[in-house]
Amino acid sequence: MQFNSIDFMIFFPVVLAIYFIIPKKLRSIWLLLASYYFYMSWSAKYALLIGGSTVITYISAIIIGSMSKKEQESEAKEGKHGLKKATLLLCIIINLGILALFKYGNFAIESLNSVLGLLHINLIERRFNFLLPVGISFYTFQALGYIIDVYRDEVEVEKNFIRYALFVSFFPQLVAGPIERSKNLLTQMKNIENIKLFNAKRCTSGAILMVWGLFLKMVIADRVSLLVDNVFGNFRMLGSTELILGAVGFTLQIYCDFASYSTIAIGAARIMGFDLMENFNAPYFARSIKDFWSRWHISLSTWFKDYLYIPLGGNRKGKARKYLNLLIVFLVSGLWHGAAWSFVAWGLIHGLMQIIGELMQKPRAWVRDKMSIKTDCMSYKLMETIVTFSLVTFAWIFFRADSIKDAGLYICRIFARPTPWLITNGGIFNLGLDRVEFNILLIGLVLLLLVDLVRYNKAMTLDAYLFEQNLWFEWFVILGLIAMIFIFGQYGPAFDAKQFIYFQF
Amino acid sequence: MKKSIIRITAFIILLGLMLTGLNKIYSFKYSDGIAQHQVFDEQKKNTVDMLILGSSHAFVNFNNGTLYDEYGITSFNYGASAQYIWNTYFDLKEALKTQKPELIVLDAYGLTFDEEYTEEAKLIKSAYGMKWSKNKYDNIVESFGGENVKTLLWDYGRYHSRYRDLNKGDFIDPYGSLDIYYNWYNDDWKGQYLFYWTNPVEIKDYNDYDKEELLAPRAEEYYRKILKLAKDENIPIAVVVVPYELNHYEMGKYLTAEEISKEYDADFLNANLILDEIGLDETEHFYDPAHMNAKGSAVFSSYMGKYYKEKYNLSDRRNDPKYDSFKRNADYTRQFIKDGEIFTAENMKSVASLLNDSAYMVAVATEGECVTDEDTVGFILGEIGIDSPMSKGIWLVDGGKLMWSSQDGDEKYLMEGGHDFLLTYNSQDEVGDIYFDNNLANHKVANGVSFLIYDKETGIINCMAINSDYEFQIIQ
Repeated sequence: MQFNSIDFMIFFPVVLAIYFIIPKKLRSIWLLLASYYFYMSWSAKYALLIGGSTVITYISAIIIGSMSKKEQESEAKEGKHGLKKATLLLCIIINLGILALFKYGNFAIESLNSVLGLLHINLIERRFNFLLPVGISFYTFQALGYIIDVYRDEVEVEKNFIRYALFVSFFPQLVAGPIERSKNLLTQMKNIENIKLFNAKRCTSGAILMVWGLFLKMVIADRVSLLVDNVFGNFRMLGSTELILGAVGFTLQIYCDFASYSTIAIGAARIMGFDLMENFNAPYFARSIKDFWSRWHISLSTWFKDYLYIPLGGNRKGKARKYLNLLIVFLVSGLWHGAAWSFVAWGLIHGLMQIIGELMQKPRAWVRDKMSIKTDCMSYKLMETIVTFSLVTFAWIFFRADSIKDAGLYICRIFARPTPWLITNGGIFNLGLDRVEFNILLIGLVLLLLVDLVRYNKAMTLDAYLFEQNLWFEWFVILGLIAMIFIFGQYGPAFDAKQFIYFQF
Repeated sequence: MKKSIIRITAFIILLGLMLTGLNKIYSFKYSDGIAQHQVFDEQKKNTVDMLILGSSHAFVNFNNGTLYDEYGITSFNYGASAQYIWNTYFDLKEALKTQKPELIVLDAYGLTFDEEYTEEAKLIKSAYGMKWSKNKYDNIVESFGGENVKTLLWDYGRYHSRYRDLNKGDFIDPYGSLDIYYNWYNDDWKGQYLFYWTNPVEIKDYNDYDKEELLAPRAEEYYRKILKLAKDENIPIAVVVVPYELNHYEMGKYLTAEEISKEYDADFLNANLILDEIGLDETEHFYDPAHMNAKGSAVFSSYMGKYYKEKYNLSDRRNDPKYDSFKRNADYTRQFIKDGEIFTAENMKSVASLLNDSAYMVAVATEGECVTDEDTVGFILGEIGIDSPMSKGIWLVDGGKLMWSSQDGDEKYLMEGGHDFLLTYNSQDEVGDIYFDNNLANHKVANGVSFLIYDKETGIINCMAINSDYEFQIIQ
């Protein structure tokens, strides 16, 4: 069930009500049952996969944990260490294997067939005939993060299976993140029985975040998607203005869609007494690609940094190796996002942009110096932000397009078919959003801009900022957002409910 | 803790008020189905003696005003257009919560449908006007055969996106309309649609037809449920086929329905077979092949009222103040029919005298080269109450009395019945403009006379003109 569905509107209050009143000892079990119910509402049989992943990583952690203990106690460390590593590797291989099979199986077959097709060899005809389990990339990484942390002796082994299973399957962040760390969420779950649930401020904070998340999804993301789908679906017939609008639209759509899920997840978890990690921090205010990745999908980028980039050597083995490591991380990141070469291309572009950005640091500094360009002023920062936004939007074209070829054609047409008159003659209102819908979208974007500005300048989320204001303003904003969701939200039979983009990851 | 509870409670109250307000604004305001249900709920308990159920055949053709005027019968037309019989069943259950009628009249048209389930749009009309209850839930769930019936259960999810369609009726005056085609609603409305216009029909004679057609299983199931429910409640039920251009297939269904009605001691009358006896004229009394016009509904209801009154000894509620709303509705309906006579006249001369009435405020303006010296024009104006007018100009008459003319000044503004009226005259160009609610009402003809007629009793405004270039033909 999606967060913006009637089912969730019934599910969450019921789960919450029972959670608040049952004996403390039963809280974990109740949330675990609720989480599996939530997951099985997508597809009951795939609960076996998440269950299997949970059991495998749980047992592996216990084995690794016991070996660590023996390692410390005995002098024969090498043997134990070898076994530890083998257990870890086996666990990783099994989990990634399941992920690879379900997510990349058909992609691998298609790619192999493409290559063999050049040699006129038709080797594999059958494709795997199953749906991608929702959230598999997320919970797999979350579980792997835990096992690696155990291996590194950074966290204690979790022997309580219920608690561990809840950590892997916790429903607010199960299907689209944030990808939690055992050091954060599992530690909080150990303390579940001591959480004081009836905390008005915490619950209000969580509720505000959920409202804001629903606003991002239902008023902005689902609305702009009407334009984006139309433009990307017909890009061969469109010109520069429409294509740029479509690209910018997707930039906004993916942010609002993804951030909405994370925000609702954080809000829901907060009401239940858990603090999930931040996943987005005003990413489109970033002033460089590197800065962007410190603000976008933070849980994934830090996961890759801690569990891939650093183990590969990070920046400790010279510049060339650093750049290679960066490329590997971004290629894998691209692949994580989707089983298609266009996602890999997207990842590659970001990797290259980071590398180029670093390589260009000195030349840029030289130019700034020679031309006496001030850097500590609004105009320079604004320019950096706009350039970064443009580069990110450029890369998103590859993410959204059906193929690398389509992305290339899309970009070529922006330059080959200028249509600036559409901005003034009303032509932009024929792209899927008429004038009224455009205006609603603009109002939504203004609100988004304001909230992200507060985030960027004051490092405050909406709930924290509202708590600092007078009560009338706080209520005015919340009621206003709710009203806008009810009136302008894309829901109900007249509109297709838009899948959260990141669900198929 | 106490402070938190107070704050949360206050917020929830505010939120509730806001959502209730939004729901009220955005809800569908169809006067087909939805309005009937909502207005029915406002009726005083146990004041409806004749409950008329079914499709538009029921709610257009039964004239509540005539039934009251001639027989003192208090009736309510409770249905929705092209309503399926199972929706009618749930309507009956709903109605019986607050009313114990002396007679249920069931329009049989819904028995002719072969479909298994109700389509979305019709279900919205049949169900969304009901208050939330188990009956409404059953009505929706049992009627809708499609997937995702739960999406229909939440009304607001259906109409929240109406923001671009909102108009005056969504904020105030929910069923009022300036459109003369739809302005049958009044504060004491009893569910009838009234049409002014006439279009001849041709109703075949099925008096010798005897080939029965089976009812669709679901239709029969719910037909029997309705008849049984009436019997269980000890309320007489009369099934009627209202005159319309039916075909032989439908006729066959009615024959079967008649046989079934006998099992429940229910009266069954196919009025198509006794048109002459009723006094209906196919060229004068119909609006379209399935519905009578206002005049026709009065003739039909006069007959049916007598028929049911004699058969069921229905109460005469005239002079009983408890039933005053039915009297007021009857007054409105009568006046509405009178408006219809004027608004559908082919010749202004024949109806001009009707405007010389306290109910009417009339603004008149000459157009182009037409002058009042013209015999026809002078006659019409004289009948309205404008004597010895200047050759060209603009006049305002209220209840047959001249209130203002362009001789008195260049401009006249007044507010009447919540409407703004503005009359302006340019004496140099000899051009007059008539505005109501910022709408220009005249200049429909190049040469002639324009009329804005406002009925203060019905609230209906109509703009007409006579064209002096075409023998003073009326232009709507």
